[in-house]
Amino acid sequence: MIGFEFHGHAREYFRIFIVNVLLSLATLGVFSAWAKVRKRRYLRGNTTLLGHPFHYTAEPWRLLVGNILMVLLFLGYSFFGAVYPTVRFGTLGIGALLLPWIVVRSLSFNAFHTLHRGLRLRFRGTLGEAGLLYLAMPVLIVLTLGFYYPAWQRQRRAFTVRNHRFGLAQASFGGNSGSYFRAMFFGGLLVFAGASLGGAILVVWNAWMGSPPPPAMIAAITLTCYGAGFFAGRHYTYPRIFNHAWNSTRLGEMRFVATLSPGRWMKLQWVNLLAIVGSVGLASPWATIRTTKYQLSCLALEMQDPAHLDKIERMGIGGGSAIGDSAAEFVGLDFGL
Amino acid sequence: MSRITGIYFDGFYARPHPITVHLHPDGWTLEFADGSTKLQVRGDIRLDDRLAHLKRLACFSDGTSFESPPHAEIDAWQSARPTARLNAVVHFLESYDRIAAVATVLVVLFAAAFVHYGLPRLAHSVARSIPADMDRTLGEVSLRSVNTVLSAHSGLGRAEQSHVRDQLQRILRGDETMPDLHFRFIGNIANAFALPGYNIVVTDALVEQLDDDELAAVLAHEVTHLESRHAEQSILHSSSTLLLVAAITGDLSTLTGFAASLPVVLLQKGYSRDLERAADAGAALRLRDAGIPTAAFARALEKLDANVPAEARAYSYLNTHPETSERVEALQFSTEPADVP
Repeated sequence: MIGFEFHGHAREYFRIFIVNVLLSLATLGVFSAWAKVRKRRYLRGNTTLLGHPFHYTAEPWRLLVGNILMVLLFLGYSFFGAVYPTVRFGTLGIGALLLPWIVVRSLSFNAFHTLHRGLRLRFRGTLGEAGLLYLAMPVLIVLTLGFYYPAWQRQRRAFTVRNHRFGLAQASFGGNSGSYFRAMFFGGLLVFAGASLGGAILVVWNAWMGSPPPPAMIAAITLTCYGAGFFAGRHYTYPRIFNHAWNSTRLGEMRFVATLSPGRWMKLQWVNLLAIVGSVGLASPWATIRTTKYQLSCLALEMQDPAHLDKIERMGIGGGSAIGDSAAEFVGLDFGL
Repeated sequence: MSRITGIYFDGFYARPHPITVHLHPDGWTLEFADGSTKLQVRGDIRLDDRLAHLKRLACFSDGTSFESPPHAEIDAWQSARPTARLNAVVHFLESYDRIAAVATVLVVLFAAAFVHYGLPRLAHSVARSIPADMDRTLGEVSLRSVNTVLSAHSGLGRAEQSHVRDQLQRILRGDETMPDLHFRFIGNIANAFALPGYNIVVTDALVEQLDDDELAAVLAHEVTHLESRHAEQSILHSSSTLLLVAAITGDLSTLTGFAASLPVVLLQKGYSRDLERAADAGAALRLRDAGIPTAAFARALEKLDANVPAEARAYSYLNTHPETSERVEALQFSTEPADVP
């Protein structure tokens, strides 16, 4: 079994983060594309497998083009949309239709620019498959009142994994919807528990003081309890799905093994949250480093013979446009590692 | 000419090959373990920028690549390229704790100053340059949402409505456009608000509770909102604040990103209170010009304030309007020069 290793340091990463934020601000956001590439390169370059690092080779100017397009779409939506509702629907419509394309382009761009041992990762998902997954399936989620959501998450993961290959080694996915459903069901219960706790506090307050709390207090109590429940639910679900998904992923003849501890993960994330909110975001590089370090320490590749990796061969060639990549970040999609 | 060692990948197999590379001005000569050599000319080498202590990757145009520790020799070889010089500066800035400390202070100051001074000014100048017909459309949309969401038709008669219009006429200046008045019934809420495109919405309860001078004063406040395009400014302000937060934290999607933006949202409440204060000041001037005592505005504010339940007042620090007592005080101050010529 061969484990992934992460060698990043919070102090070093913070220096990169803060200098790049400053340069991005000073250039009115133009530098942010370079900043993103530097941060990503730092994280990938410090990730090694059998001593060999990963590389991220995207050209920043291509990300810049993507950023400009997304800013235009966002401005069109938020400002012109406020004036002419048709523009808002138009932008939303274009956004929805573009979504499958954005997803495919972003995954293939990201894969193409991820290099390991001189070979590029590849993503070969089709637009049709992405369209079915991102435009048709959400309707099913609505029709089933959300019960289809975990199965949809599994489908999304399967779509992402199955279409990736590293040289001739094709990735495959054998995850089942049941595991997704269980993780999300109990995560959902935690959200519900948080919201109920908020309600209970209000009821007790009312009984104790003889009058309901002032509106600001009501808002603060319910929002805090709901937020805490949501956060706990999310990080209850995350490590379970991480383990299940990676344990169901194979790359050629190799198998991934993930062993994230749900308890440690939960603690890690609460400390991250407190640190980030307490520092108005300045602690986020530190949080990124410790999260990545822990995550990768729990991920390994199982293979009969380590020399197996040496024998992996490459496949054809082709690029990918950057617009998809940064668009996906706005929409909130991401592919770990 | 200098020599470095590193690992070569042929791009067909993932197998690593330790090799030696000779760097010379025109390109690199790769020397393999079996003694054979291969030349890569400068134009065929795509070299990673220097970053922290990461291994450097060079991709050759034939699909092969070379990975090496961050040798100074590569920096020296690369330094001829202008982008390499720029990258050397960024790498230098990223390498020292002290520079990072200075950068942190600058980022915090910059963000605070931008949200506090920069954005309001930007919103102000952009709001003024919105074309009139676009502004009218914006007004129609907001009016429609008022109509559908929270109100019913006014119970006021035609005579009463035109009486309110007369009060509005009193505080307008010479050739000023007459704003469109819209009368709505919203429960017993006494309020008036200005919408883009020169629209003012007045609730029935407001007309019932205030006398003529008080009504004129409240309308003067709303007209000032209109002439300075305050509504447009706050739309611009809130959408650009969101963009700023996105630019700094790098994403909007996560819960922590949202949490980190909370302080900024609270600052926005301060912004809308600044707009209210500006409207108060403008109203005071209009009342003076129209010969209406500003005390009428103070009375109106106190009447409206008396209607607000105690618990709502308790959280006024979160509210969009300044405290009434503070506003009344500011009014008295602003009228002093007028009373003492």
